[in-house]
Amino acid sequence: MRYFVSFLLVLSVVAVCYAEDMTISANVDRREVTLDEQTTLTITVSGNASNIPQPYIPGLNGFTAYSSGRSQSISIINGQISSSVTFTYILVPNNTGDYTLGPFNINYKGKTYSADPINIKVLPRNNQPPMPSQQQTQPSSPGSMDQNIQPQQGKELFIEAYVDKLRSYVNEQITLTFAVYQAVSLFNNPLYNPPSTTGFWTEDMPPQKKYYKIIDGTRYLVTEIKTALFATGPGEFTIGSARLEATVEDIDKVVSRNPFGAFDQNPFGMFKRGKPVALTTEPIKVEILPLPDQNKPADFKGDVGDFDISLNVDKNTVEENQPVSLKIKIKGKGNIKTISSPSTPEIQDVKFYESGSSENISKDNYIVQGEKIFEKMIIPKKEGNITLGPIEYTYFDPVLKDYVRKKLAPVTINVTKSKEEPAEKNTFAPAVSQEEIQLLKRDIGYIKTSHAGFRPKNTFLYKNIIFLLINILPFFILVALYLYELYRSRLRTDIGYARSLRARNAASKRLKGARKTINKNMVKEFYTEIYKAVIEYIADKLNIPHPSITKDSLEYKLKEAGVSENIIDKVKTLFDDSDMARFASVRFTKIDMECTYRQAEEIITNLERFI
Amino acid sequence: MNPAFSKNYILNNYRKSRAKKLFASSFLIFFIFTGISMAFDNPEDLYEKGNSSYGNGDYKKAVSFYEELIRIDKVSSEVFYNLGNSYFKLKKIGKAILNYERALRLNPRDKDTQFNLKLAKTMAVDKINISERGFVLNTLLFLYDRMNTNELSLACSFLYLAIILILIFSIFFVAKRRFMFCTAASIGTIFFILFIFLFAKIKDENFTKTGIVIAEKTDARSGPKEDYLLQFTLHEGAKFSIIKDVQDWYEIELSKDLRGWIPKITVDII
Repeated sequence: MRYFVSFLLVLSVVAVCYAEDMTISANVDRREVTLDEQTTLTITVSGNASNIPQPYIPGLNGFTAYSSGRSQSISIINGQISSSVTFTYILVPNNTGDYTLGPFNINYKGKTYSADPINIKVLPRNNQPPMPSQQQTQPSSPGSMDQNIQPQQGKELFIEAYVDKLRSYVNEQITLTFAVYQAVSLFNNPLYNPPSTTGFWTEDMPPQKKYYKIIDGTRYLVTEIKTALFATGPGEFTIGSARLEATVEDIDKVVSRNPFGAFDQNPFGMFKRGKPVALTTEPIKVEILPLPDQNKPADFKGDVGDFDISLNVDKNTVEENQPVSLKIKIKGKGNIKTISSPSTPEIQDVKFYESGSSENISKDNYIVQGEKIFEKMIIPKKEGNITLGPIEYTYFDPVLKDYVRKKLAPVTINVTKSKEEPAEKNTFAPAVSQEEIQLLKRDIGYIKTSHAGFRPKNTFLYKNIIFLLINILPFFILVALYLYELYRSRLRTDIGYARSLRARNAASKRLKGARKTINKNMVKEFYTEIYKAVIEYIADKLNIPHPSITKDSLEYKLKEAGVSENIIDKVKTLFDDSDMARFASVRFTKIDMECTYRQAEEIITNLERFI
Repeated sequence: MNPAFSKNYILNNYRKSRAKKLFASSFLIFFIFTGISMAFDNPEDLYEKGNSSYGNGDYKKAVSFYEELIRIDKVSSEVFYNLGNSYFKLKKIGKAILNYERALRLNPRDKDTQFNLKLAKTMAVDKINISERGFVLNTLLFLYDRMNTNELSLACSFLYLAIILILIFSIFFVAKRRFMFCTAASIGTIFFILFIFLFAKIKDENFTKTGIVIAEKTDARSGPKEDYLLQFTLHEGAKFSIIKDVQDWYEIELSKDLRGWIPKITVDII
């Protein structure tokens, strides 16, 4: 199905391509611009063709053009493809006057379509253009990077880094500004390597500030990245060079390319032209002054800036052994993070617990400021009035160049006698984050005093060999018993099997009996026994009733069982001998009997192999 | 200065220093004695001493007695339970949870341990969501939750021997073979379930290592080194399973999507 649909699509495309119809139109969003404004040129090519070529744009006199993208829309209605491509350019006027843009042509399948030219009037600047925040950057930078602000004509991208002051006190804020000036659009996000700031505590100050600025007639988009630096010690420090890597659009190639070049074959080629640029700034030397030793208070902890301190107690009357929460808030401008807790004087029968601090930092106007709140818990152990304070806090003000001491008025807390007994020993309040459980006074169960006996830690039954043996052995017993039962049942049901199993034993019994008769010289009995031993053995083995055996049938049966001729002959001789002996016993001596006995034994052993 | 005063002062000072020395030496002797007495005590005595120390409120001493029992490898669920209690009183929640868990492994049905463990877990800072098992699963795993490894082994062994015995009888009593086979099959089903439980238990408790954070807090990083990215912080008492073990670090898993590396010294294995 999918293939069918795509096939149809291809067919329709082919059909439509033959009936091509193309229109081109050009438009600007305003026909009158002043020198510090810009206008957007939109060229729309639409038609029922699927691959619309790039329009040819003649040199745009008096303007600098930036490509700001290409958008395409394709619609298929009743099998009719109509597609339109919009190319957008931003035009920035360079000079005043009247200009004519175009005509814009498009070449498709040998035919040229064109759009009407556009007239644009460029007016001089109506008043001094607003240059936001320029006054902030320039006066405070004493010649640090001024030469960079006047770039060579035609430099479309440059960067600078400067600090707001080259001399400062330890822990005083220095604002490092890194600015990117760009007159072209960048292909990718530029890669910014911040400068190395060893010896400083840094604080990023987002957001990036963006504004336009015109330097020598070129309009630059300025992006500023600011960082606050706080020196950690006195001395001379170097802020390393910052680095920016970017790919810039090569504007010259876009605007002044040769007409009818290789462009039409690659409509996207124009957007891929870019050249990589890597820029670095000069390192900046900063002198950090030590804080003056003169008038340095003993309790000064190194905070520099401009701060205010306030104190807040959650209740003024409290029962003994109940906590009072004390909040000391330090608010102002300076390195908030490094502020340390102001010391509180020790008071007898009152316990202090530090319960943490929280910071709230803002970077309004690119000055690090905010507040830090130190929380303390006070637990008075005895009733009476306790007076907290006066709490004092000192800092260094770099503007006044002197130390400032702020004092808080003392706070009095009235401690009353506790109504209930002191909290039971050994109870726990649950962790703060799980307060909803409301476990206020619960304790664990008492220890166990009874005992069931000790053992080594990892004693596992499944690793115990005796345990395993106890489990495995019965299985073998079961198997053995089963096999024995199988054997017994076969003996019971299969007579032939039973006889054949019994044959050897019976034969050797008879032979033993015969052996005894040799010494007594009972020839007849001897041969009878030998005969019986062999014949019964064979009968048992072959499972035939032995009274029915004749010599001939015996020979036949033995042959059938695959006994070799040699042995069959021996059997026959043995039977002949024993027949003879039974009738003429006198002729047989002891030696003959011994010989026959051995022969019988041999026969039985040999037969064992065959049957 | 008044001479009498100064004499007094010197005497006093002398006495103080003597008292200090005496105190120090008695302290030393006490330690040596407890050390010796520990080394020669039999498990029952150590246990009794631990219990009496606990009763007197000297939890540190109780801990040392119980830990000694564990060191000489004479343990029981009661020892772990009492040790857990002692750590709980010393506000070492991580170690308390660890020892309650160990006690439960030996005696999963113990109500006291279950209660204390539950209480201790509410004291832990980290709230780790463990997916609750439904009613059906709880019913199915009723025996699994209430038997330890050895009990399961014994039960399996018992059922297995019963099956073997029935089969042996069935060999000789042909007439009742059918009935016996049916009995063996039904016992076999129970045996099979218990055997799976046993396997799961052995896997859960001896092959999958589970640990508890015993340090106040520990940082889980993205790799087995201090300079890897800090991913999250675990606090005392948090329970996790260990996936990998590289030198001084464990890779742990809290839930399907929470993994990290933490140093070994901050945790202990149940």
